[in-house]
Amino acid sequence: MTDNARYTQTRTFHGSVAKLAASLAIVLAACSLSWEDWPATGALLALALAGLAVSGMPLAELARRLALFSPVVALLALSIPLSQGFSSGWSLAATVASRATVSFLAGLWLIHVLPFDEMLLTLKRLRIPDVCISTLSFMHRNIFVLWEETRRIRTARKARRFGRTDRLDEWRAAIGLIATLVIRSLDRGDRIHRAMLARGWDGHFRHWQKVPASDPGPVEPS
Amino acid sequence: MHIPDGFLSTPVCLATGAISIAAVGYSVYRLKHSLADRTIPLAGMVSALVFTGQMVNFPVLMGTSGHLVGGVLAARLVGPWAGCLSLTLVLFVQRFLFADGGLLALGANVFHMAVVGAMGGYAIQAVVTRLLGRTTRASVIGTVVASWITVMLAAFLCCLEFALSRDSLRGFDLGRFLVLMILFHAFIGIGESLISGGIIRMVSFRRPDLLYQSEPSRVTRPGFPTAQGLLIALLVTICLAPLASSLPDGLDSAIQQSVSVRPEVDSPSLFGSYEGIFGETTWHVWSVILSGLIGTLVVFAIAVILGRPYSGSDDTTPGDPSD
Repeated sequence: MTDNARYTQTRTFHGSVAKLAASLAIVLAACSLSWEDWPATGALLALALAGLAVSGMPLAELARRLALFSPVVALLALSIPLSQGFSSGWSLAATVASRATVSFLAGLWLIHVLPFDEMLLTLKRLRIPDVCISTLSFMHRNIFVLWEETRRIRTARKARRFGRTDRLDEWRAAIGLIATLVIRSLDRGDRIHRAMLARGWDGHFRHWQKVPASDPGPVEPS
Repeated sequence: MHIPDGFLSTPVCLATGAISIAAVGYSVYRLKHSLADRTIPLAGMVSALVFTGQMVNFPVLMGTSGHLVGGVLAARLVGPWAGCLSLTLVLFVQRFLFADGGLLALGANVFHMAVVGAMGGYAIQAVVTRLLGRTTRASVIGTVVASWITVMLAAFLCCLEFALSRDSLRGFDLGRFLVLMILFHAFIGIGESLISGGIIRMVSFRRPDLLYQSEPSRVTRPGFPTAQGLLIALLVTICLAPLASSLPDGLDSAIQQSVSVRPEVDSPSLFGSYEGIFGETTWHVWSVILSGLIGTLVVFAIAVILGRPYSGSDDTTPGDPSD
Protein backbone atom coordinates (compact mmCIF):
# COMPACT_ATOMS: atom_id res chain seq x y z
CA MET A 1 0.00 0.00 0.00
CA THR A 2 1.46 3.38 -0.99
CA ASP A 3 1.74 6.24 1.47
CA ASN A 4 -0.93 8.17 -0.31
CA ALA A 5 -3.33 5.25 -0.39
CA ARG A 6 -2.67 4.46 3.24
CA TYR A 7 -3.29 8.05 4.06
CA THR A 8 -6.71 8.13 2.51
CA GLN A 9 -7.81 6.23 5.57
CA THR A 10 -9.61 8.72 7.79
CA ARG A 11 -8.15 7.21 10.93
CA THR A 12 -4.59 8.12 9.97
CA PHE A 13 -5.60 11.68 9.13
CA HIS A 14 -7.47 12.16 12.39
CA GLY A 15 -4.56 10.67 14.29
CA SER A 16 -2.13 13.09 12.65
CA VAL A 17 -4.37 16.06 13.37
CA ALA A 18 -4.72 14.91 16.99
CA LYS A 19 -0.91 14.74 17.31
CA LEU A 20 -0.53 18.23 15.86
CA ALA A 21 -3.25 19.57 18.16
CA ALA A 22 -1.76 17.87 21.23
CA SER A 23 1.68 19.33 20.55
CA LEU A 24 0.25 22.77 19.94
CA ALA A 25 -1.85 22.56 23.13
CA ILE A 26 1.22 21.75 25.25
CA VAL A 27 3.14 24.64 23.67
CA LEU A 28 0.24 27.04 24.23
CA ALA A 29 -0.14 25.91 27.85
CA ALA A 30 3.61 26.19 28.49
CA CYS A 31 3.74 29.67 26.98
CA SER A 32 0.95 30.88 29.24
CA LEU A 33 2.87 29.93 32.41
CA SER A 34 5.60 31.86 34.14
CA TRP A 35 8.50 30.65 36.23
CA GLU A 36 6.41 31.06 39.40
CA ASP A 37 3.92 28.45 38.10
CA TRP A 38 6.59 25.77 38.35
CA PRO A 39 4.23 22.93 39.44
CA ALA A 40 2.16 23.31 36.27
CA THR A 41 5.30 23.73 34.16
CA GLY A 42 6.75 20.62 35.78
CA ALA A 43 3.57 18.68 34.99
CA LEU A 44 3.78 19.71 31.33
CA LEU A 45 7.47 18.78 31.26
CA ALA A 46 6.62 15.34 32.70
CA LEU A 47 3.84 14.94 30.13
CA ALA A 48 6.18 15.76 27.24
CA LEU A 49 8.87 13.40 28.59
CA ALA A 50 6.27 10.65 29.06
CA GLY A 51 5.15 11.15 25.47
CA LEU A 52 8.75 10.83 24.27
CA ALA A 53 9.24 7.67 26.38
CA VAL A 54 6.04 6.09 25.01
CA SER A 55 6.98 7.01 21.44
CA GLY A 56 10.17 4.99 21.88
CA MET A 57 12.64 7.77 21.21
CA PRO A 58 16.16 6.52 22.04
CA LEU A 59 17.71 8.23 25.05
CA ALA A 60 20.90 8.95 23.12
CA GLU A 61 18.92 10.75 20.42
CA LEU A 62 17.08 12.81 23.06
CA ALA A 63 20.39 13.71 24.72
CA ARG A 64 21.90 14.69 21.37
CA ARG A 65 18.96 16.94 20.51
CA LEU A 66 19.01 18.54 23.97
CA ALA A 67 22.74 19.14 23.66
CA LEU A 68 22.14 21.07 20.44
CA PHE A 69 19.17 22.99 21.80
CA SER A 70 20.37 23.89 25.31
CA PRO A 71 23.24 26.27 24.44
CA VAL A 72 20.99 28.31 22.14
CA VAL A 73 18.26 28.76 24.75
CA ALA A 74 20.79 29.31 27.54
CA LEU A 75 22.44 32.07 25.50
CA LEU A 76 19.11 33.71 24.73
CA ALA A 77 17.84 33.47 28.32
CA LEU A 78 21.14 34.67 29.81
CA SER A 79 21.22 37.66 27.49
CA ILE A 80 18.27 39.08 29.48
CA PRO A 81 20.06 39.38 32.88
CA LEU A 82 23.35 40.09 31.09
CA SER A 83 21.84 43.21 29.54
CA GLN A 84 20.88 44.41 33.03
CA GLY A 85 24.34 43.82 34.49
CA PHE A 86 23.03 40.64 36.20
CA SER A 87 21.09 42.82 38.67
CA SER A 88 17.63 41.87 37.38
CA GLY A 89 15.90 39.87 34.69
CA TRP A 90 16.62 36.47 36.24
CA SER A 91 12.93 35.66 36.66
CA LEU A 92 12.26 36.59 33.04
CA ALA A 93 15.19 34.43 31.92
CA ALA A 94 13.94 31.46 33.93
CA THR A 95 10.45 31.89 32.44
CA VAL A 96 11.84 31.98 28.90
CA ALA A 97 14.04 28.93 29.53
CA SER A 98 11.27 26.85 31.13
CA ARG A 99 8.74 27.68 28.43
CA ALA A 100 11.23 27.00 25.65
CA THR A 101 12.32 23.66 27.13
CA VAL A 102 8.78 22.29 27.51
CA SER A 103 7.84 23.54 24.02
CA PHE A 104 11.00 22.01 22.53
CA LEU A 105 10.22 18.60 24.05
CA ALA A 106 6.62 18.78 22.80
CA GLY A 107 7.93 19.66 19.32
CA LEU A 108 10.44 16.83 19.50
CA TRP A 109 7.67 14.38 20.36
CA LEU A 110 5.66 15.64 17.39
CA ILE A 111 8.43 15.13 14.85
CA HIS A 112 9.12 11.69 16.29
CA VAL A 113 5.51 10.47 16.04
CA LEU A 114 4.58 12.30 12.83
CA PRO A 115 6.94 11.56 9.93
CA PHE A 116 7.51 14.40 7.48
CA ASP A 117 5.65 12.81 4.56
CA GLU A 118 2.64 12.21 6.79
CA MET A 119 2.85 15.80 7.94
CA LEU A 120 2.71 16.97 4.31
CA LEU A 121 -0.32 14.79 3.57
CA THR A 122 -2.04 16.10 6.70
CA LEU A 123 -1.38 19.68 5.64
CA LYS A 124 -2.73 18.87 2.19
CA ARG A 125 -5.94 17.55 3.73
CA LEU A 126 -6.09 20.71 5.86
CA ARG A 127 -6.29 22.73 2.62
CA ILE A 128 -2.83 24.27 2.75
CA PRO A 129 -2.17 25.56 -0.84
CA ASP A 130 -0.94 22.82 -3.15
CA VAL A 131 1.99 24.91 -4.38
CA CYS A 132 3.41 25.03 -0.84
CA ILE A 133 3.00 21.28 -0.26
CA SER A 134 4.47 20.36 -3.66
CA THR A 135 7.41 22.75 -3.21
CA LEU A 136 8.05 21.35 0.27
CA SER A 137 7.99 17.84 -1.13
CA PHE A 138 10.40 18.84 -3.92
CA MET A 139 12.66 20.56 -1.42
CA HIS A 140 12.65 17.60 0.97
CA ARG A 141 13.75 15.31 -1.85
CA ASN A 142 16.54 17.63 -2.98
CA ILE A 143 18.00 18.42 0.44
CA PHE A 144 19.61 14.99 0.47
CA VAL A 145 20.77 15.32 -3.13
CA LEU A 146 22.44 18.66 -2.40
CA TRP A 147 23.93 17.40 0.83
CA GLU A 148 25.60 14.59 -1.10
CA GLU A 149 26.80 17.18 -3.63
CA THR A 150 28.24 19.27 -0.77
CA ARG A 151 30.13 16.26 0.55
CA ARG A 152 31.54 15.55 -2.89
CA ILE A 153 32.74 19.16 -3.32
CA ARG A 154 34.23 19.12 0.16
CA THR A 155 36.05 15.84 -0.45
CA ALA A 156 37.43 17.13 -3.75
CA ARG A 157 38.69 20.30 -2.06
CA LYS A 158 40.35 18.33 0.72
CA ALA A 159 42.04 16.10 -1.84
CA ARG A 160 43.55 19.15 -3.54
CA ARG A 161 44.59 20.99 -0.38
CA PHE A 162 47.93 20.58 1.37
CA GLY A 163 49.37 22.03 4.52
CA ARG A 164 47.79 24.07 7.28
CA THR A 165 45.06 26.58 6.61
CA ASP A 166 44.12 29.65 8.59
CA ARG A 167 40.65 30.95 9.37
CA LEU A 168 40.60 33.24 6.34
CA ASP A 169 41.30 30.28 4.04
CA GLU A 170 38.49 28.32 5.66
CA TRP A 171 36.07 31.19 5.10
CA ARG A 172 37.17 31.50 1.48
CA ALA A 173 36.77 27.76 1.00
CA ALA A 174 33.29 27.73 2.60
CA ILE A 175 32.15 30.69 0.46
CA GLY A 176 33.52 28.98 -2.64
CA LEU A 177 31.76 25.77 -1.66
CA ILE A 178 28.36 27.46 -1.33
CA ALA A 179 28.90 29.45 -4.55
CA THR A 180 29.69 26.23 -6.43
CA LEU A 181 26.64 24.66 -4.84
CA VAL A 182 24.51 27.62 -6.00
CA ILE A 183 25.64 27.18 -9.61
CA ARG A 184 25.25 23.40 -9.65
CA SER A 185 21.88 23.38 -7.86
CA LEU A 186 20.31 26.06 -10.07
CA ASP A 187 21.57 24.21 -13.16
CA ARG A 188 20.17 21.00 -11.72
CA GLY A 189 16.83 22.73 -11.03
CA ASP A 190 16.72 23.91 -14.63
CA ARG A 191 17.46 20.40 -15.94
CA ILE A 192 14.78 18.91 -13.68
CA HIS A 193 12.28 21.51 -14.88
CA ARG A 194 12.97 20.68 -18.52
CA ALA A 195 12.67 16.95 -17.77
CA MET A 196 9.36 17.62 -16.03
CA LEU A 197 8.12 19.60 -19.04
CA ALA A 198 9.10 16.71 -21.30
CA ARG A 199 6.87 14.48 -19.18
CA GLY A 200 3.84 16.73 -19.41
CA TRP A 201 4.40 18.98 -16.40
CA ASP A 202 1.88 21.84 -16.32
CA GLY A 203 2.50 23.20 -12.85
CA HIS A 204 0.36 20.71 -10.93
CA PHE A 205 1.29 17.48 -9.22
CA ARG A 206 -1.05 14.57 -9.84
CA HIS A 207 -1.53 11.72 -7.41
CA TRP A 208 -2.59 8.23 -8.37
CA GLN A 209 -5.71 7.14 -6.61
CA LYS A 210 -5.88 3.76 -4.93
CA VAL A 211 -7.81 1.28 -7.07
CA PRO A 212 -9.25 -1.87 -5.48
CA ALA A 213 -7.64 -5.12 -6.68
CA SER A 214 -10.99 -6.39 -7.97
CA ASP A 215 -11.48 -3.33 -10.19
CA PRO A 216 -10.52 -4.35 -13.72
CA GLY A 217 -10.54 -0.76 -15.05
CA PRO A 218 -7.40 1.21 -15.87
CA VAL A 219 -5.79 3.50 -13.29
CA GLU A 220 -6.63 7.12 -14.07
CA PRO A 221 -4.88 10.16 -12.73
CA SER A 222 -7.09 12.25 -10.46
CA MET B 1 19.40 32.09 15.61
CA HIS B 2 15.78 31.04 15.58
CA ILE B 3 13.40 32.36 18.22
CA PRO B 4 12.22 29.47 20.42
CA ASP B 5 8.74 29.23 21.92
CA GLY B 6 8.36 31.14 25.16
CA PHE B 7 10.41 34.18 24.22
CA LEU B 8 7.44 35.99 22.72
CA SER B 9 3.86 35.98 24.02
CA THR B 10 1.11 34.10 22.20
CA PRO B 11 -0.69 37.26 20.91
CA VAL B 12 2.59 38.62 19.48
CA CYS B 13 3.29 35.23 17.87
CA LEU B 14 -0.20 35.25 16.33
CA ALA B 15 0.19 38.82 15.08
CA THR B 16 3.57 38.15 13.45
CA GLY B 17 2.15 34.91 12.08
CA ALA B 18 -0.71 36.81 10.45
CA ILE B 19 1.74 39.25 8.82
CA SER B 20 3.85 36.34 7.60
CA ILE B 21 0.85 34.47 6.16
CA ALA B 22 -0.21 37.61 4.28
CA ALA B 23 3.32 38.17 2.93
CA VAL B 24 3.86 34.54 1.91
CA GLY B 25 0.37 34.39 0.39
CA TYR B 26 1.14 37.47 -1.69
CA SER B 27 4.46 35.94 -2.75
CA VAL B 28 2.68 32.78 -3.94
CA TYR B 29 0.16 34.95 -5.82
CA ARG B 30 2.97 36.86 -7.54
CA LEU B 31 4.83 33.66 -8.39
CA LYS B 32 1.81 32.22 -10.18
CA HIS B 33 2.12 35.08 -12.66
CA SER B 34 5.89 35.45 -12.90
CA LEU B 35 7.28 31.90 -12.64
CA ALA B 36 4.13 29.86 -13.42
CA ASP B 37 5.19 26.22 -13.93
CA ARG B 38 8.78 26.96 -12.80
CA THR B 39 7.62 27.90 -9.28
CA ILE B 40 7.84 24.46 -7.71
CA PRO B 41 11.18 23.27 -9.16
CA LEU B 42 12.90 26.64 -8.76
CA ALA B 43 11.59 27.57 -5.30
CA GLY B 44 12.04 23.98 -4.14
CA MET B 45 15.63 23.84 -5.34
CA VAL B 46 16.52 27.22 -3.82
CA SER B 47 14.92 26.15 -0.52
CA ALA B 48 17.04 23.01 -0.54
CA LEU B 49 20.08 25.12 -1.46
CA VAL B 50 19.59 27.59 1.41
CA PHE B 51 18.93 24.71 3.78
CA THR B 52 22.15 22.97 2.73
CA GLY B 53 24.06 26.26 2.70
CA GLN B 54 23.05 26.82 6.32
CA MET B 55 24.68 23.53 7.25
CA VAL B 56 28.09 24.76 6.07
CA ASN B 57 29.88 26.12 9.14
CA PHE B 58 32.13 29.16 9.28
CA PRO B 59 34.69 29.14 12.12
CA VAL B 60 34.38 32.21 14.38
CA LEU B 61 36.13 32.20 17.77
CA MET B 62 37.07 29.71 20.46
CA GLY B 63 35.62 26.69 18.72
CA THR B 64 32.32 28.39 17.91
CA SER B 65 30.99 28.65 14.38
CA GLY B 66 28.35 30.55 12.47
CA HIS B 67 26.38 29.91 9.34
CA LEU B 68 24.54 31.63 6.54
CA VAL B 69 20.97 32.90 7.03
CA GLY B 70 20.37 33.28 3.33
CA GLY B 71 17.40 35.67 3.00
CA VAL B 72 19.19 38.23 0.83
CA LEU B 73 21.07 35.50 -1.05
CA ALA B 74 17.83 33.70 -1.97
CA ALA B 75 16.18 36.97 -3.02
CA ARG B 76 19.24 37.88 -5.13
CA LEU B 77 19.09 34.51 -6.88
CA VAL B 78 15.37 34.11 -7.54
CA GLY B 79 13.77 37.42 -6.64
CA PRO B 80 11.89 38.63 -3.57
CA TRP B 81 8.75 36.50 -3.99
CA ALA B 82 10.43 33.14 -4.58
CA GLY B 83 13.04 34.11 -1.98
CA CYS B 84 10.36 34.75 0.63
CA LEU B 85 8.63 31.43 -0.16
CA SER B 86 11.96 29.56 -0.10
CA LEU B 87 13.01 30.94 3.29
CA THR B 88 9.56 30.16 4.69
CA LEU B 89 9.85 26.55 3.55
CA VAL B 90 13.37 26.30 4.97
CA LEU B 91 12.09 27.46 8.36
CA PHE B 92 9.16 25.06 8.14
CA VAL B 93 11.42 22.08 7.41
CA GLN B 94 13.85 23.11 10.14
CA ARG B 95 10.95 23.21 12.58
CA PHE B 96 9.24 19.97 11.57
CA LEU B 97 12.30 17.91 10.70
CA PHE B 98 14.86 19.13 13.24
CA ALA B 99 12.76 20.87 15.96
CA ASP B 100 14.78 24.05 15.29
CA GLY B 101 12.88 27.19 16.33
CA GLY B 102 9.50 27.48 17.97
CA LEU B 103 6.16 26.11 16.81
CA LEU B 104 4.21 29.19 17.90
CA ALA B 105 7.18 31.40 17.05
CA LEU B 106 7.35 30.07 13.48
CA GLY B 107 5.41 33.13 12.29
CA ALA B 108 7.88 35.47 13.99
CA ASN B 109 10.85 33.61 12.51
CA VAL B 110 9.29 33.74 9.04
CA PHE B 111 8.63 37.46 9.53
CA HIS B 112 12.25 38.17 10.45
CA MET B 113 14.06 35.93 7.99
CA ALA B 114 11.71 35.54 5.02
CA VAL B 115 9.72 38.77 4.97
CA VAL B 116 12.35 41.19 6.32
CA GLY B 117 15.30 39.08 5.16
CA ALA B 118 14.25 38.23 1.61
CA MET B 119 11.67 40.87 0.66
CA GLY B 120 13.20 43.73 2.67
CA GLY B 121 16.71 42.63 1.74
CA TYR B 122 15.87 42.60 -1.94
CA ALA B 123 14.39 46.11 -1.72
CA ILE B 124 17.48 47.46 0.08
CA GLN B 125 19.95 45.85 -2.32
CA ALA B 126 17.93 47.09 -5.30
CA VAL B 127 18.07 50.68 -4.01
CA VAL B 128 21.81 50.47 -3.24
CA THR B 129 22.58 48.83 -6.58
CA ARG B 130 20.62 51.49 -8.39
CA LEU B 131 22.35 54.32 -6.53
CA LEU B 132 25.79 52.88 -7.32
CA GLY B 133 25.17 52.22 -10.99
CA ARG B 134 24.06 48.62 -11.67
CA THR B 135 27.54 47.13 -12.02
CA THR B 136 28.81 43.89 -10.52
CA ARG B 137 30.52 45.86 -7.79
CA ALA B 138 27.30 47.74 -7.05
CA SER B 139 25.41 44.46 -6.92
CA VAL B 140 27.87 42.97 -4.43
CA ILE B 141 27.87 46.13 -2.29
CA GLY B 142 24.06 46.12 -2.39
CA THR B 143 24.01 42.52 -1.17
CA VAL B 144 26.51 43.29 1.61
CA VAL B 145 24.60 46.35 2.81
CA ALA B 146 21.22 44.58 2.60
CA SER B 147 22.51 41.56 4.51
CA TRP B 148 23.80 43.69 7.35
CA ILE B 149 20.73 45.92 7.56
CA THR B 150 18.27 43.02 7.49
CA VAL B 151 20.06 41.24 10.34
CA MET B 152 20.04 44.45 12.40
CA LEU B 153 16.42 45.12 11.52
CA ALA B 154 15.44 41.59 12.56
CA ALA B 155 17.25 42.08 15.90
CA PHE B 156 15.47 45.39 16.45
CA LEU B 157 12.08 43.86 15.62
CA CYS B 158 12.81 40.94 17.93
CA CYS B 159 13.42 43.39 20.83
CA LEU B 160 10.27 45.30 19.95
CA GLU B 161 8.23 42.09 19.93
CA PHE B 162 9.85 41.06 23.22
CA ALA B 163 8.75 44.37 24.78
CA LEU B 164 5.23 43.96 23.41
CA SER B 165 5.12 40.45 24.83
CA ARG B 166 5.54 41.58 28.41
CA ASP B 167 2.63 43.06 30.35
CA SER B 168 5.03 44.84 32.65
CA LEU B 169 8.72 45.57 32.30
CA ARG B 170 9.07 47.02 35.79
CA GLY B 171 12.70 47.04 36.84
CA PHE B 172 13.80 45.92 33.38
CA ASP B 173 15.69 48.36 31.20
CA LEU B 174 14.59 47.56 27.66
CA GLY B 175 17.08 50.03 26.20
CA ARG B 176 20.04 48.10 27.59
CA PHE B 177 18.60 44.83 26.27
CA LEU B 178 18.17 46.46 22.86
CA VAL B 179 21.78 47.69 22.91
CA LEU B 180 23.07 44.20 23.79
CA MET B 181 21.02 42.53 21.07
CA ILE B 182 22.02 45.10 18.46
CA LEU B 183 25.68 44.79 19.45
CA PHE B 184 25.55 41.00 19.29
CA HIS B 185 23.75 41.00 15.95
CA ALA B 186 26.12 43.61 14.51
CA PHE B 187 28.79 40.88 14.47
CA ILE B 188 26.35 38.30 13.08
CA GLY B 189 25.42 40.85 10.41
CA ILE B 190 29.07 41.32 9.43
CA GLY B 191 29.43 37.55 8.99
CA GLU B 192 26.22 37.34 6.98
CA SER B 193 27.35 40.26 4.79
CA LEU B 194 30.73 38.67 4.08
CA ILE B 195 29.22 35.28 3.23
CA SER B 196 26.35 36.60 1.06
CA GLY B 197 28.54 39.20 -0.65
CA GLY B 198 31.29 36.63 -1.32
CA ILE B 199 28.84 34.14 -2.82
CA ILE B 200 27.14 36.75 -5.03
CA ARG B 201 30.55 38.02 -6.16
CA MET B 202 31.67 34.54 -7.22
CA VAL B 203 28.36 33.75 -8.93
CA SER B 204 28.41 37.15 -10.69
CA PHE B 205 31.76 36.40 -12.28
CA ARG B 206 31.19 32.73 -13.07
CA ARG B 207 27.51 32.61 -14.03
CA PRO B 208 25.85 36.05 -14.04
CA ASP B 209 22.86 34.60 -15.89
CA LEU B 210 21.83 32.80 -12.69
CA LEU B 211 21.21 36.03 -10.79
CA TYR B 212 17.69 37.41 -10.70
CA GLN B 213 17.05 40.18 -13.18
CA SER B 214 14.00 42.21 -12.26
CA GLU B 215 11.50 42.63 -15.04
CA PRO B 216 10.74 46.24 -15.96
CA SER B 217 7.54 47.43 -14.40
CA ARG B 218 4.50 47.52 -16.62
CA VAL B 219 3.80 51.04 -15.37
CA THR B 220 6.85 52.90 -16.59
CA ARG B 221 5.56 56.36 -15.86
CA PRO B 222 3.18 57.83 -13.31
CA GLY B 223 -0.17 56.85 -14.72
CA PHE B 224 -3.69 56.19 -13.62
CA PRO B 225 -2.89 53.70 -10.80
CA THR B 226 -0.42 56.14 -9.26
CA ALA B 227 -2.89 59.02 -9.47
CA GLN B 228 -5.58 56.76 -8.01
CA GLY B 229 -3.36 55.89 -5.04
CA LEU B 230 -2.49 59.53 -4.45
CA LEU B 231 -6.17 60.53 -4.61
CA ILE B 232 -7.14 57.85 -2.06
CA ALA B 233 -4.31 58.94 0.27
CA LEU B 234 -5.38 62.58 0.02
CA LEU B 235 -9.04 61.71 0.65
CA VAL B 236 -8.11 59.65 3.71
CA THR B 237 -6.03 62.57 4.97
CA ILE B 238 -8.86 65.07 4.47
CA CYS B 239 -11.49 62.83 6.08
CA LEU B 240 -9.49 61.45 8.99
CA ALA B 241 -7.07 64.25 9.87
CA PRO B 242 -9.68 66.27 11.82
CA LEU B 243 -10.25 63.19 13.98
CA ALA B 244 -6.62 63.20 15.15
CA SER B 245 -6.50 63.09 18.93
CA SER B 246 -5.36 66.19 20.75
CA LEU B 247 -3.84 64.02 23.47
CA PRO B 248 -0.08 63.38 23.35
CA ASP B 249 1.07 60.15 21.70
CA GLY B 250 2.84 57.35 23.58
CA LEU B 251 6.34 58.77 23.29
CA ASP B 252 5.26 62.34 24.16
CA SER B 253 3.29 61.05 27.12
CA ALA B 254 6.23 59.00 28.39
CA ILE B 255 8.55 62.00 28.06
CA GLN B 256 6.08 64.24 29.88
CA GLN B 257 5.77 61.75 32.72
CA SER B 258 9.48 61.09 33.07
CA VAL B 259 10.88 64.61 32.57
CA SER B 260 9.91 66.85 35.46
CA VAL B 261 11.37 70.10 34.10
CA ARG B 262 10.27 70.99 30.60
CA PRO B 263 12.38 73.36 28.53
CA GLU B 264 11.06 76.87 28.33
CA VAL B 265 11.52 77.16 24.58
CA ASP B 266 10.51 74.42 22.21
CA SER B 267 13.10 73.36 19.68
CA PRO B 268 12.46 74.81 16.24
CA SER B 269 10.69 72.44 13.87
CA LEU B 270 8.76 72.92 10.67
CA PHE B 271 5.97 70.62 11.84
CA GLY B 272 6.61 70.77 15.58
CA SER B 273 2.87 70.95 16.06
CA TYR B 274 0.06 70.38 13.59
CA GLU B 275 -1.38 73.74 14.52
CA GLY B 276 1.95 75.41 14.04
CA ILE B 277 1.20 76.61 10.54
CA PHE B 278 -1.78 78.71 11.50
CA GLY B 279 -1.30 79.06 15.23
CA GLU B 280 -4.95 79.98 15.97
CA THR B 281 -7.19 77.46 17.69
CA THR B 282 -10.08 78.40 15.40
CA TRP B 283 -8.00 77.14 12.50
CA HIS B 284 -7.27 73.89 14.22
CA VAL B 285 -9.16 71.62 11.82
CA TRP B 286 -7.91 73.35 8.68
CA SER B 287 -4.33 73.42 9.88
CA VAL B 288 -4.43 69.70 10.63
CA ILE B 289 -5.84 68.95 7.16
CA LEU B 290 -3.26 71.18 5.46
CA SER B 291 -0.40 69.69 7.45
CA GLY B 292 -1.64 66.20 6.57
CA LEU B 293 -1.89 67.09 2.87
CA ILE B 294 1.62 68.55 2.80
CA GLY B 295 2.99 65.48 4.59
CA THR B 296 1.22 63.11 2.19
CA LEU B 297 2.51 64.98 -0.87
CA VAL B 298 6.10 65.03 0.46
CA VAL B 299 6.01 61.29 1.17
CA PHE B 300 4.49 60.70 -2.27
CA ALA B 301 7.25 62.71 -3.92
CA ILE B 302 9.93 60.69 -2.11
CA ALA B 303 8.20 57.44 -3.10
CA VAL B 304 8.00 58.51 -6.74
CA ILE B 305 11.68 59.50 -6.82
CA LEU B 306 12.88 56.28 -5.16
CA GLY B 307 10.33 54.05 -6.89
CA ARG B 308 11.11 54.95 -10.49
CA PRO B 309 11.78 51.87 -12.63
CA TYR B 310 15.28 51.29 -13.87
CA SER B 311 16.08 52.98 -17.16
CA GLY B 312 17.28 50.62 -19.84
CA SER B 313 20.03 52.98 -20.97
CA ASP B 314 22.73 51.43 -18.80
CA ASP B 315 24.60 49.01 -20.99
CA THR B 316 26.81 47.61 -18.25
CA THR B 317 25.86 44.00 -17.62
CA PRO B 318 26.25 42.40 -14.18
CA GLY B 319 28.89 40.06 -15.49
CA ASP B 320 31.02 42.69 -17.16
CA PRO B 321 34.59 41.65 -16.30
CA SER B 322 35.73 45.26 -16.53
CA ASP B 323 33.92 46.04 -13.24
